[in-house]
Amino acid sequence: MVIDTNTVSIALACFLILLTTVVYFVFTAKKSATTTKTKEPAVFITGPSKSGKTALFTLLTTGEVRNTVTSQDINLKKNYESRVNLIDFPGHVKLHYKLMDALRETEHIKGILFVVDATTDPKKLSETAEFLLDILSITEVSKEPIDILIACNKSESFTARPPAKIIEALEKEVGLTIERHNKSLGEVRKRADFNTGGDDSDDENAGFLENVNGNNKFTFSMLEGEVEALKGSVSKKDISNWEEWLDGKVSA
Amino acid sequence: MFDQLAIFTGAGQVLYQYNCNGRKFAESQIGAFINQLIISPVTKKDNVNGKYSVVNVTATEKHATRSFYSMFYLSRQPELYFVITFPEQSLELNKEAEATLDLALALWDSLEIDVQVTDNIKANNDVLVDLGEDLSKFDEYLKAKYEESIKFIAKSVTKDNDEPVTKDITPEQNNKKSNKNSIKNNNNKGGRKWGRDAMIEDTSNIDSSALDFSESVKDSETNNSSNNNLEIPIDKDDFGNRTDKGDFLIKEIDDLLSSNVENKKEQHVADGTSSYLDSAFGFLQKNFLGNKTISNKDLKPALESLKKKLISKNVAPEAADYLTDLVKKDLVGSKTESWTTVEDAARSSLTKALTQVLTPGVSVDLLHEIQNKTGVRTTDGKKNPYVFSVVGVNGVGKSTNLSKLAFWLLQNNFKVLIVACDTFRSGAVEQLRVHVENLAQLMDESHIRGSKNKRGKTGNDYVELFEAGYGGSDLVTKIAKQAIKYAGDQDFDIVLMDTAGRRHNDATLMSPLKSFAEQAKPDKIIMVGEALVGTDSVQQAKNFNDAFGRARDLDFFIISKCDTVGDMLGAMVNMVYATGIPILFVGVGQTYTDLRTLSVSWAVNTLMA
Repeated sequence: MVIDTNTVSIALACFLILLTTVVYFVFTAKKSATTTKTKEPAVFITGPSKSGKTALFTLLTTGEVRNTVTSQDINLKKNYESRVNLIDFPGHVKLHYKLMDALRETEHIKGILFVVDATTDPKKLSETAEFLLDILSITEVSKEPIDILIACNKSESFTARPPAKIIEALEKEVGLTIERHNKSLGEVRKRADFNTGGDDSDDENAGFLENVNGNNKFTFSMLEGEVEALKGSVSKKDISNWEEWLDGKVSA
Repeated sequence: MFDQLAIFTGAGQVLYQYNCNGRKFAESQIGAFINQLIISPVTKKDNVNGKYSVVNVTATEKHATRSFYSMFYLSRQPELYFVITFPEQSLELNKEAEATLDLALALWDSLEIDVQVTDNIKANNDVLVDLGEDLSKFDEYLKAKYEESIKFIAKSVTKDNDEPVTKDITPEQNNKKSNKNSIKNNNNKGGRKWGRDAMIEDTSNIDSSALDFSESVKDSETNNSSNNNLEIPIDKDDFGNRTDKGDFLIKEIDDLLSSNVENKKEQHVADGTSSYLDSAFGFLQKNFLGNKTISNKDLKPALESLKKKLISKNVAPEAADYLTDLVKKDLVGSKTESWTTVEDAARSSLTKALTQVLTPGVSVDLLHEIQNKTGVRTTDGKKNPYVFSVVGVNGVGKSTNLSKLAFWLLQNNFKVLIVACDTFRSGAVEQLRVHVENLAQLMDESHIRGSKNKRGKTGNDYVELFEAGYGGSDLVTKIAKQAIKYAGDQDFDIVLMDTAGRRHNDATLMSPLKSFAEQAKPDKIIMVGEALVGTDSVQQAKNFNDAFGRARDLDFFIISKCDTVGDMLGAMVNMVYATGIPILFVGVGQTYTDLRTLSVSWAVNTLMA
């Protein structure tokens, strides 16, 4: 009987040792996994639908020009240029939340490539402006200023507009959108009786918008992050402008 | 013939594309399909045709494509879409699309392209790395097989519809056999070649003129005996005689396909045996360690509890089923992260699913749209008013929310005309008059209640009531048209039409809505739904959305009485689930300022709490 209890206790001890080591290893693995998840520097590619984001992503990562269709999910290239994660987000309105979540959760955003179709009529930029404003309302309250490149794609087209025109039109539209936002009905969560744990970032957003409105006319120079527009063409593989910008941001 | 076949990933990378008409592959068509899929994922459930789902994509201005149908299959792990588009829904095309998808999937499986794709994704490579060879093989096989057999099946279906069947064998067999035999005969006559599209009558005419008696005896033999053993060698022979390469290819494909079936069977057997130790470790992984490949079985209890929770928040069982199905599709076969239990994974997946369902598919910037429309004057210098009409079941708060909306618009310096299109319920017009008086007073403190403005109507310069008493449904459209004309003449920016509340399952009450929408042509049709209603909200939203006919849908919902339900916001999910139409505003109280924009994250958090 004595031997029996001994063996049992030895077995138990062995089991405990085994268990703790396993737990330890898994725990350390997990820890490193979560830290890399949010702390790895990243460059985002985004913009409205059909501007050529996925095509640009493919060109940057593989050097090929390919047919692509509307994305429903992100394209991710880890260690692009062995330095950053390059992530291409879908442009569909219903899927913007993926980008917004990522903007909040990524600590080091090296830059955002906001791809627009240079052939779009400047009068029809309101949706693009709204999207850009949504991005700005997050990036402008982050600790480090985040630079944005307005990548004016499809410059090979006859109807393409020069980057300066696009920047100007976007500034105007963003200004108008801010004005409208200030007039719109507030979001439901701000009510006291609908308090769901409070969302601080939202108040900051409001502050940023008011500040802009106070100066009356919105310009990109008011922002903390730099906003630049450069032309290029994915289909003609003419993206050296953007690559230079990207290199500058990535090595910074 | 179908239009296009495309195989692509969720991230938008095209793996394979094929335009059946030999034209350039049109991504815009696939784009329109994906758009439809993103906006109303519910259609996945609605139009399921056997194992594949069929989606009808209607022409829109934005996509500049004509309407078409697409049949698709979605594989998970890796996430790939197999899509076939075809111009119209007919028996032949459906059959052809189905057969082609079957073939494409079988080929895809047997060439084991999936394995390479998964490897590429894991290894942080481009999806297409090392796929070139496999894909070109896939392309070659698919085209060969399609040309050989599927086209032919489709054709034989058409034939059967046109021609009466003469023999006692089933039509399809008959056609196939006579065709096969005739081709065989032709070959025996000495190396004559026939195009693969040779019509059946043509060949059978030549058949009878062959005058080769020994052959025709054999012919009749094969025709009479429905013996499968006899058929197979003949089958292969005539493939071989037609084109040397084709024969080789088809044999190769068939070998490939059949070997794959065997492989699958073996795998199945292997899957069945799992030791006790495995299950013990599986338990640990499931509940503590993470890194577990989720199976249907693991997910079941987690989904059950999530579903119960959703239902307790007033989500209709139908919608809850749909959401948990989304979670299942998302998770089965995937691996949990370290230290995440299956429950946690299911929860976060459900959060994502809810967010995606509730997020509007189009950006709705009302002020922008109003400015755009009212900014442009008609040719005779009159204003183009922006017209809203509000519909809903009785007592959900149509008039109240209409007034709240009016208050917000008034604050944005728009002139608002409120139209009493509820000519049915006694007191409806008087009720609106009270609202107009209140709003007028809020806009201008010196306004005296009950006084008339300079046009002799209730209200003042900012807001006015347009009324024409009580009457039948003819009166409603008449009032609506008059009101819009009046608003244009008198320089109003906004027309808000209140309609009578109606029971959604009463056809006699619902049918006038269609003509109303056609006549009045409102820019936005808003349905007010109350958060209090339970499971019925699915049917309410569906019926109201359908009431306007095929050409017109609701534009958005206002969910009222959200302050009365606490965290039971299920009605929101139900209505969006049923129609795919976004919620724009929520009513959260009794006063004119208690209208809010919906915050999706707020709604999702409340539902998941």
